[in-house]
Amino acid sequence: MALPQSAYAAREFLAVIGDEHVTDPPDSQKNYLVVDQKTEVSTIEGAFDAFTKQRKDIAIVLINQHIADKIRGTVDGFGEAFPAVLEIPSKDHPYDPEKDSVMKRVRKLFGE
Amino acid sequence: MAAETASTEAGVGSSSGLTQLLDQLDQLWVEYLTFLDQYQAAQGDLKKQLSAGHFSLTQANFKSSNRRPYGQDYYDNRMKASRRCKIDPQDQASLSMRFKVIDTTDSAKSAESAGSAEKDAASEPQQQPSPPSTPTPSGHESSETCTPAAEDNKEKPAAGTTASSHDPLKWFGILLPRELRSAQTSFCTVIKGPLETAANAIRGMRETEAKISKLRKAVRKIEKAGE
Repeated sequence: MALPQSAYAAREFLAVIGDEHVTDPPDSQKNYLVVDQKTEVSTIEGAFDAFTKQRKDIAIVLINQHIADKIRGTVDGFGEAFPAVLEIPSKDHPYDPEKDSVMKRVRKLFGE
Repeated sequence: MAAETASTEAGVGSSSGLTQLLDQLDQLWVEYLTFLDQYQAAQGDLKKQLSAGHFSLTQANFKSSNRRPYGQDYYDNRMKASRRCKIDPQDQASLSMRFKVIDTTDSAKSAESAGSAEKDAASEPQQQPSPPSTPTPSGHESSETCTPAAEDNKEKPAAGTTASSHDPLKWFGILLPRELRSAQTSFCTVIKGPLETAANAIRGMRETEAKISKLRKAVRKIEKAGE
């Protein structure tokens, strides 16, 4: 499963999809999306697709777990090698391993 | 008789091949569980550091004199990413490549300090503007002679602001509460430590998962052939 270097050589940024307490300062091409109560699911999905499929300079995508729950199907269906998608807790929503897409894959592998 | 011997030998061969595959499968399971353990430990650390960061931020907001929360309103949109990721290929059998988070502000600060030292050395002869030879009835000439000094003065703060703009903490003012600094420390620790570990663990689990699936298929194939 050795990937060619071209698949990951340009990936150097961390992207963030989170609420106002999580997002990092922006880069020139905006590698973040601030999500609030007014943000539509389509916007979140669009940002996730942009960071994971369209942009080739993102190495890791951080997403709050409660926001990932809104686009759960898309997050669970993402199976590419890059970027790495990591669900993180937010200020008001603690991390739940039951909902984590990584842990779901683990349970699937164990046949649960 | 010969056919029976041949089938017995084939059975022995397939069983030894099966045993080998099962041993390899066990080894892969051990690797997989190691990565899983690393991932869960990293999530635990991440949770602790983020909680500490949010708590410090809340304390800073509570103690803020102007009652304005430290948030997006202070952001400088010209800011560039202060942390970048590098993906290094590895020779390990368990992990073909590794994520590494790099702090770009350290290299920028060292480059700037070298640059500003060079600027200071170059600007020393210019820091003493020549006095006007004749008194000026209007302020025109004096403003011209003052301009190079003003420009020199502008250069130094410019170098200072470039250096300070790499630290987002500078956006929030000069006298910063201690809690805001500790919030920044906590969040930066998240990026460098648990996040890097978790990303590498996810990568390792995906690679090992693919190998396990492949090996399971091979085992099933041999078991079916042996039936």
